[in-house]
Amino acid sequence: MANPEMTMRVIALMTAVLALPAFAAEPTVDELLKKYDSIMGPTAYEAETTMTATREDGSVRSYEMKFLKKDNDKFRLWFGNPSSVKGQEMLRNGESMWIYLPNLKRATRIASRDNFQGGDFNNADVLRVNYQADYTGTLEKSDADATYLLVLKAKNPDTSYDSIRLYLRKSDLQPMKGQYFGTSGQMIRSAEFTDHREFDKGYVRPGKVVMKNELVKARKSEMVMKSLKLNVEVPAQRFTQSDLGK
Amino acid sequence: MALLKLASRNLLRNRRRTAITLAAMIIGVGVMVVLRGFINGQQKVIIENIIDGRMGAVQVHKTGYVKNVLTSPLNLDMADSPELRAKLGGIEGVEAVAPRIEFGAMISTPDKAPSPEDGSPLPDDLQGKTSFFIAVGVEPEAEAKVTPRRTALVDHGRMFPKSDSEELVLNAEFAVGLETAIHDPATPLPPLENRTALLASDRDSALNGENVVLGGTFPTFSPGDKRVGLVPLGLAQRLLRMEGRVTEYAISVKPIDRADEVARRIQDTIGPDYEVHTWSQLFPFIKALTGTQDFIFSVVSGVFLTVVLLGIVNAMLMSVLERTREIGTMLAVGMRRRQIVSLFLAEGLVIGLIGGFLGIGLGVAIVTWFHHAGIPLPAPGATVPSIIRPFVSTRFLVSAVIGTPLGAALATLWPAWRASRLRPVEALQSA
Amino acid sequence: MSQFPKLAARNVGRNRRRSLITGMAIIVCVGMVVILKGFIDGVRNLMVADVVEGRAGALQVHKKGFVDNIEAVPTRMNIAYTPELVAKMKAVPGVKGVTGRMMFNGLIGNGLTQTMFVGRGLDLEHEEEACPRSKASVKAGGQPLLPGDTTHTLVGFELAESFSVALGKTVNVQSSSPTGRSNSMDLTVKGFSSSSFPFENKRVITVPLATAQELLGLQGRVTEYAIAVDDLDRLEQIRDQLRVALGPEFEVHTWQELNTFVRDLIARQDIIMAAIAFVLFIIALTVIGNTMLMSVFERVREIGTLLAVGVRRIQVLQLFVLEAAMLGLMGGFVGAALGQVVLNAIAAIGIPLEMPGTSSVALLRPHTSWSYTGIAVVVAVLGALVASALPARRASRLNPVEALRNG
Repeated sequence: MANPEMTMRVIALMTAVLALPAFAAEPTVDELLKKYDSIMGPTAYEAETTMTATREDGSVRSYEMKFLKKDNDKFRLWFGNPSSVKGQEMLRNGESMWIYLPNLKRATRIASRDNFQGGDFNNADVLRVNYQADYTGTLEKSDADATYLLVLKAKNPDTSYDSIRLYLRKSDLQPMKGQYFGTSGQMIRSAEFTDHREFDKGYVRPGKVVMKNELVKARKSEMVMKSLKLNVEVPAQRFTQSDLGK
Repeated sequence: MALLKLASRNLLRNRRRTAITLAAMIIGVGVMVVLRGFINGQQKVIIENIIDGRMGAVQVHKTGYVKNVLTSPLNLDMADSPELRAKLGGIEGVEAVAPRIEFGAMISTPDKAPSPEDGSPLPDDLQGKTSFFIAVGVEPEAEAKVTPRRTALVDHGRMFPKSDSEELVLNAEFAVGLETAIHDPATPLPPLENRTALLASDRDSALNGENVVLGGTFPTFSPGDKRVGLVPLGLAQRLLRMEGRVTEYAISVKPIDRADEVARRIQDTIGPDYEVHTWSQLFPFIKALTGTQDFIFSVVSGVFLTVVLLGIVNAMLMSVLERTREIGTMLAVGMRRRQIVSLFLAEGLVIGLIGGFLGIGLGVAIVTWFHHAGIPLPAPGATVPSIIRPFVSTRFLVSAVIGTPLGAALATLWPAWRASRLRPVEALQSA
Repeated sequence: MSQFPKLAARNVGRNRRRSLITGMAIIVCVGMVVILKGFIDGVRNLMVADVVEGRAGALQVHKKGFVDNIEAVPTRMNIAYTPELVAKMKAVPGVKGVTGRMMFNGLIGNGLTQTMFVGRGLDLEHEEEACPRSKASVKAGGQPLLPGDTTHTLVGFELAESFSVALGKTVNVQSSSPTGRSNSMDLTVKGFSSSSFPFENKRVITVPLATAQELLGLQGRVTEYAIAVDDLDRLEQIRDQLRVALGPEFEVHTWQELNTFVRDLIARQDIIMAAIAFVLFIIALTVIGNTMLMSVFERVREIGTLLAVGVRRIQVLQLFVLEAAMLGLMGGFVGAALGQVVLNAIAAIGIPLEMPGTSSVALLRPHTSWSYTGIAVVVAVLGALVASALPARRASRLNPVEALRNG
């Protein structure tokens, strides 16, 4: 090229292009789903959380819990506070769910569709996140700044929601907002993901999720993650009924 | 008096006709008494099953409880205290007071085999069963005084003896669906892993559980029975973290027809923080039913009365016709028409009195006999037969005793009047 | 002797007063019996109709095991709602109407708060062919659901009060499919339902079937079929035939099996009423008998004359009995006719009776079949015959001389 200015600009441009991070190109839906599952539902982890449920009469209840997850269908949680639930445990293994109540001194089966301690997460919400397996997605133009809008549609009739709109931050693909719809298209729940920080080596995720009941607007539940450790080695035995209460 | 004697003698003259007329009257009146007695007995059974078997005559709740649809009923609970119970018990007409908590509960039966160690799921038919039902926490001693039939309804196993027992009582069909067997109290309790769990959320929606065993079952007696169960009050209070609190007081009233009055007295005594309802307010279905039956009874009585009185009119008319000559003679010798009328009226009255007394007497005798014997009603749906004990109220009897002779006399009016209108000359000429 | 009927008739006509008195007695008795039976039948029909035509249907079909199932999720045991199945059911002789329904539960809210409900999804095109009176429980002021309604609902009136929701306002209805899929919809309140079971006023909502199916993700499915039949007396045969036609996957129950309380009540009433009718008949007989007796004794002289001129005793008997029969026939006819007229008059106005159950007010229209009326007439004739037999026999036994002297 004859024009040195032009050349300079081209070189600058090419350098800039080469220097861009690996996913400057729009990420694929699969990648986004995988990323979401890895953020919100890593395969094996141990965590401490507090859940706070607010009802329309203004009353507020808080529960402190410890989580343990393995594979994609084994969950265990222990309740710490308040004293009314201290010592309670829940276990999900595949389709079976049990609850351990200290008063009972043993575990007993429960149905998985109940509300989780009366809050706005139903039990499946809290204990199972596997969007890659359950939903197909399309990317749409997002109406919120600097986010990708992933519109998910259920792959099978067993999922809790028919479709979900997930807003993921462009810079680091962290989830920012979620909207959960029933088959009729009415929004049943909405979620806000905030307080993104690093919990374990290189593992960043929202520290707080607020789930709002869109049908009864004054109801909401908050999950605050206090600590999280990834890749915890847990023997499968810990997810059996007989281990509850020990 | 002399008139009545004369009337009686006249009646005796045509014995057959009098006998037949009396017979018709006795049967008619008797059947009406028996019918009323039977209807009363049947209504009582239905009411008893509801009042003595479940509800209590009067119920006391925290204001707003009955209409409440929105919040957990546990939020509208009341503090239970000996003073409050004594206050309620001391009100005139109140026989006994029973505290209760009604709540939604889940029952979970143990798996039939231990879970596989490798974490694979147990096959469905070996898994324990979970189901919802309405649990009523009761104190057996108090409950027996307020709803005595309830305890009697437990036909397999037993009603738990104490408020802090660990047994519960469920509907028999429900228990079958749960595949649970009744525990024999003579045997030791099964190990914890094999016990049934009772789960419920307290008013803050925190889950809690208690170990229980099935102590007894009751049969399905009326609609809606299947999903109801009884649990000891102490157990319920512990489960719901509501020690010292209840959601309702069931109250028995003596006599039962004073329920409205007593309810008002209770309301006045305990004030506006509480609401008081009678069984018929809580279950209007019954009033509609008894209303229909009473209506049928009035139609039936009307028809019977018409026919019986017709018989009397008929018989009297015959009598007049037959005695035309005699009446003519009486008129000819100067008897006044008014006296003729009185004579026949007296005859009608005598028939009414005798027929009425005998008929009512017969009816009462039958009612009394069946009252003591009891009429078992087979109820193929339920396994408990109800026993009908017919009875009639004194008020009914009094109106029957007064009304029957009066009715008979009224029926005689027209024939008597006809008799008095006879012209002596024609009368003497005819027949 | 062929002259007897004429003679008998002339006798009846001649002594008008006597015939009238006897006739009146028969007329009133027969009329009363007809009226009573009409009322009893009317009330009974009303009670049965309330259950059969107002709520449950004569027969119901479910998935096998449904009725005994204790699980809280009725929608898991759903069955297909297809024209083929409906046609199969209709092919069974006696089946008059078929409709499908969905029973389900969920949460109802007004945006501010939410509570549990029990729902009934009705196929509005066909609900009336199976339950003609299902609209009866809608409170005045509101409208029942009609075919073509999609996003409308009827709400138990106490439930509506708690939510302060007026006619025309919307409520939000949320539920899940049997596999756990959440869904919700806004529905407009078209009317309030009312029942004398308090639970229903506090918890029940009624929606179009399509709406329920959509809400639950159960398109083309129902939890039950309700069936109307043309002849309630053949109910059990029809049920058995349906069982054969549908096969082991389904279970078929009569309304009595599902509603034992009402069944027992009606059965008891039937027994009582039969006894009542019988007693009434006996009493009626005595009245007629009395009159007949009287009539014979009045005519002692006439009898004596007859015997004296050579009429045979047996003929005297026959004559009297024939007269009685005629009176019975005429009186019976007139009485039955009058009774029917009275019943029809009352039926035209109707007597309002509050129905236990739907707490609607139904009109009692007393009614009795012509066959019963016919029976009443026959019984009247027989009754007259029986009542007159003995006196007639006595009459024929009279000694002519004494008879002529007496009287």
